[in-house]
Amino acid sequence: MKILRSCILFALCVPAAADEPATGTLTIQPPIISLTDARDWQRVLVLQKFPDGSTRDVTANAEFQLSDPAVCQVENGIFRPLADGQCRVTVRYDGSDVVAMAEVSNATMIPDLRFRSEVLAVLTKSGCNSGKCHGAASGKDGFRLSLFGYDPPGDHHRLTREFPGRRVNVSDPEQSLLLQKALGNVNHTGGQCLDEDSEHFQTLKAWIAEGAPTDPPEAAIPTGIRVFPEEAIFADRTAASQQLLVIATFSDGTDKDVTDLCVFLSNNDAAAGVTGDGVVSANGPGTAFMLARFDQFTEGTAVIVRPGVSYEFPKIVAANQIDELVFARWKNLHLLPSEVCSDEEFLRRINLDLTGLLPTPEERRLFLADSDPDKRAKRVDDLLQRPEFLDLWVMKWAELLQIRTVNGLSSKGLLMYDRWLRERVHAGMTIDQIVRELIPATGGTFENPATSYYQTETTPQLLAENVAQSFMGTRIQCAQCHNHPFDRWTMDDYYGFASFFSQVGYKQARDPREIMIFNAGTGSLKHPVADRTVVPAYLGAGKAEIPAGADYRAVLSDWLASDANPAFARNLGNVVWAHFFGIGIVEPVDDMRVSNPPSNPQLLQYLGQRLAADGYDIRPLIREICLSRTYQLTASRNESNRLDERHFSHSKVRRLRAEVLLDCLNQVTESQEEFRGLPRGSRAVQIADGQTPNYFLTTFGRASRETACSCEVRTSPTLSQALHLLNGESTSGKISSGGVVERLLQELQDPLLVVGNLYERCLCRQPTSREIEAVKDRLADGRDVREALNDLFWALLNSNEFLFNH
Amino acid sequence: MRIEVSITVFLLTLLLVAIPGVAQETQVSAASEVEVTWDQVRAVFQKRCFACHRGEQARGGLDLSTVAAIKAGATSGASVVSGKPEESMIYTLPAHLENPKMPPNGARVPQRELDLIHKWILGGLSEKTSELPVASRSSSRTAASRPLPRPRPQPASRPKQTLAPAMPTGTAVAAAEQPVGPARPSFAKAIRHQAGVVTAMATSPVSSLLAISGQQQILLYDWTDRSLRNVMAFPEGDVFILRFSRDGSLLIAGGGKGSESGKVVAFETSTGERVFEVGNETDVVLAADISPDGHFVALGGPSRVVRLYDTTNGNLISEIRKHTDWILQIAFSHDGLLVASADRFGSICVSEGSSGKHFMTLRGHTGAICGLSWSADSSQLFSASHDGAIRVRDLHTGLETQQILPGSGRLLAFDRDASGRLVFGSSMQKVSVMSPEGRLLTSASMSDEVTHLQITQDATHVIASDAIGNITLFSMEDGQSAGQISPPPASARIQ
Repeated sequence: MKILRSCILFALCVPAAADEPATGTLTIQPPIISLTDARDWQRVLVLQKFPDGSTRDVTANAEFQLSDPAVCQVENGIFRPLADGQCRVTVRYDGSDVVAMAEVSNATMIPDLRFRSEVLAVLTKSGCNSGKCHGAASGKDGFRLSLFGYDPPGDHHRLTREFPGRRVNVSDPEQSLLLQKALGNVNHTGGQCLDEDSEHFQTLKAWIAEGAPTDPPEAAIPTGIRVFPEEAIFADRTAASQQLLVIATFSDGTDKDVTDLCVFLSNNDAAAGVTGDGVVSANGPGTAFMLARFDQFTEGTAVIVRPGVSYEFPKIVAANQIDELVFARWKNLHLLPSEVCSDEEFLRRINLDLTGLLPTPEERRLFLADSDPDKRAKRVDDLLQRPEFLDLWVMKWAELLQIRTVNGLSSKGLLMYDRWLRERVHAGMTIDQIVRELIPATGGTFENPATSYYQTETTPQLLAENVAQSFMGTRIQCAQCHNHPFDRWTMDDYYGFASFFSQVGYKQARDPREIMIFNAGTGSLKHPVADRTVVPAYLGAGKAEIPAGADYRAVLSDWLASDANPAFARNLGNVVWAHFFGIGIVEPVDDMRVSNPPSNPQLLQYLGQRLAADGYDIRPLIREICLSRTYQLTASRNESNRLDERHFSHSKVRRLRAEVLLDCLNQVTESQEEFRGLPRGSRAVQIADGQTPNYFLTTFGRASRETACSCEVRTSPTLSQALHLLNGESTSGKISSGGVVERLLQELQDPLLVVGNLYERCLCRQPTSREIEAVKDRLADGRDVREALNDLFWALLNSNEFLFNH
Repeated sequence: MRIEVSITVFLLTLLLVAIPGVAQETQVSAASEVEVTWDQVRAVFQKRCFACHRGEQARGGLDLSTVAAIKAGATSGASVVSGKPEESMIYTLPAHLENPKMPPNGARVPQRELDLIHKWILGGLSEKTSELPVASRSSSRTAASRPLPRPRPQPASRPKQTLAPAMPTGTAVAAAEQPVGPARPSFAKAIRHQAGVVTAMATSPVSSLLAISGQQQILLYDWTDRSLRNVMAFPEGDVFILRFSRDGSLLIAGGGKGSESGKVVAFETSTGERVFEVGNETDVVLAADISPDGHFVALGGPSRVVRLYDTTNGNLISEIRKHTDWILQIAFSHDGLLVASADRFGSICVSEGSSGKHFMTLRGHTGAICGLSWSADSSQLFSASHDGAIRVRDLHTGLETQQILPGSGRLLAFDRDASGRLVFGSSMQKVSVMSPEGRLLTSASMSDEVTHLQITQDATHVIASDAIGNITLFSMEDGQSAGQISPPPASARIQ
């Protein structure tokens, strides 16, 4: 469909009625129904949108009036051509109407069946080439197809040439094994996949009868798909179902309704499910993303199911732009947020999030005593200036750079690499500057430690995968062997991006521990299926212009960490957000894909734009986050947000990550730890080498930095974690070696004051009266006071309230 | 008068019975009384269940290939209770009365077939067969003196002209009945009338006869004048392998119906009469050979098992289970001592020709094997493969003595003449002739991938076919085309 014409028709699509009826407005998609051959057909969707934002599919009950019934016919919202020409379509429903245009050309031309976009599409739709069937790497029962049809010529060859006359029998089409198996007439592990009278089966049969041809080189190929409606909001779980419509565009400028050739998936069946025909029905309150896959394209549409109870947004004030965007989402979902947290909750949370340490009892006292209404902002500003804040982010960037001893990276090289990063972060360099220095780095690993990045991984493919995952938040690994089934990435994208690293040269430096990284100036990658040399292409942004003699990597880094690549800022924004909310707007943070959409796209876009505007300095954004009402909500939930996990309507309770937990244990017990290569008393977040042995850190799931994956940091509970805290050296050992209880008893004399101090240092609060009573009972039973207090300390360190940030 | 009338009625009745269609109907209506025989039920099991439930490695320990095995039950216990179909899992599972439904994830077995199982169990698990026992039916060559009635060639079922008339006109189309997933207007392209591709080819070692597969037929040509000499019916399905015996007196044809059945049939070359048939596969036979003395036939296919049969009594002698992929080639050595079988993975197994006992495995190829050829003294085995290589192995040592890499892409067809010249067809649409040392002598082009080729008995010509059905004669000397063979479409051949 031509853009210009769409614009003109946009005017036509405005409801004809001047006054908006209270029952809602009508829209029709697509506004231009284009039928370009005798076999073409087009489904339309008629949507009613209500003043409260909810939508309803009324296509089945709408009345269609054609200005020229000789041009086309319409049945159940499906248009078919009759004769060349144009005609105006007036759609009426419930007192409203809306106008669309139908255009028919080549009404008598019956086009050849296309192998890739029709025949192969049937096989994909029927699941033949899925991973558990013939799409498996070695096929099934001796027959292999490319996974989800990424290799149409190869599939054509295997169908027609691998065993001529077996799978496809052009002289006796119905005897073709392909058809006999599909019908289940003969043994087929997959059983019956098609009905004999289905259109899909007829497509396969007709293709064989036509001689099972492959597509001629000039045949139009799909260039993309669009899914309609763009958003559906169900008023409640009983709302009527919504048909999806998928239109594919082709390289010859035509488009085609491919709804019945698409594979549909829902990413959250609890909220809404979708049938194989693309009919969405509501299951419960929440959000879901409906995914449609056709050919190599995956697109989706967002669906909201409201709880269906009366809703009024509370009178709360947005502190900043972040709040505005989050509030808008709650209003759309009919979510009620939790209350704002107390000063004690805030102080503990902000300290842990910004510095990885707990507030001391003294800090707590001062903060609570401060009557300044801006004291939370003051606290944030204060913590942002601390070196511990930078240490925390050095650790996070070091995980992305996978700083660890591996592939012969020496201890010396590692320490230099770590120092290189640490110095830059502490000197105030922003991450884009660091990346621009890192990616094109050349020289010896000692002379220019940034080159160590090319020692941690050494193949173009792995380097490209890591760069995409770390700095663009997207995983392209799947596309190494086949087009990504749930994302936009194709093998062309993958090898185009990996080509940027195809000219990295390695040689041994004089010091046996040092390696020289240089731009070899020659080398290229081959596309494994098409067997041709690939030229470097930016991920999702087309071929790169490379000046003669330029280092590919320099060209890449100029684009990667710049405004030309919004994915960089968006990913950074998401990483920062996830640090403060325990869950990303895209979650997992490094798995941004079509089928894993952001829970709040506008918010994610804003974070990216804000970072780009701030020159990728994360501090202003962090300040805005910490001062937002959204961040300062309490962790306790209400009836409305009880089930919400993705929309930040309450604070998420999350376990402290391994390094922070160990630091906090050392902080409250006033004990010290020794790590390899660091002076005694250093904090775990300062560890340079991801491979540094430490039982506690390993048990509690620190990142070993073996991959660039955010999933390396694990905060899920395990039995060994519980046993280690209950019985291990980390709690009782540190309690006795730190001697906190003894010292406090001496200083404060009163055991109850010591109890208060222990609660404050571990939990940032005073004990409740119930807790006091219990402790008093224990102290009164005549046993050793010191031992009882140490037991209490031990119990506090084993409490979830200590182990979690909330 | 009354008597006369009764006689007339009686005669009429007789007549009615004699009319085949009516007779059949009578049979069906009386089916409840007629005992269901084991071979009828076995046919159902073969079609629906054997892919998983057959032989030693049957899933769940349930082997449905013999009555004894069915009675022995599965790992989960008894699978059948004689006389009580509703308590027999071999009925309740396929009838979807119980879980797990069988076949897994598949459509229910048709009611007609379920009824057979039901009645068979009800009738007490008969072991009778309505057919004659295999051994007596597939008679030895002496028995061939009493020729079997020549089966009438069955017409290959032609593509039905059901692809509905062109355009949806003003009337409502099928979509009206299908609110979701609307029907496309039907395909209205005229169906080209096309001959099928060649799926098997053989030249006689002693005469100018050429055998080519047709749809459920075998066409016997004289390649010198390219005349059609005989047509043999193969109603068992498509033919995927043709071989002449060493003396040229027999033509063996292997094939069947995909994923359903497969066997090898031997024809008397001179008369076209069937001599014997062996094999009872659950998929087509893709490879077969007859031993030089005519005593044994080895066959294989997607089942990955090579089965060795005694042609004198039809008995299965041995099963060779060394292969991990589909069997594509089988060749007896000229002395008959050994039989080589090769698979799609690239492995070659050499076994003893009369016992099937394993002799050696030859690895090295990394692609499907498209051809095997023994040296005249049976001491060397030549193999050609999709990996592009021709390898020569010494059978005394098992070592490779020569490797030829013609650089012609994937090799898809291979033959070798008595003087040692190598002929192969490739994915690069070429037929090439090489000297025994691997020097290219001549080559010729075809219009698509070369799928089959055979050297003529006098080693003057190569007959090759390509993936779109062309059959061309080429001179071995200069590669010049010496004519085409164009089998008439199946419809035109039906007498």
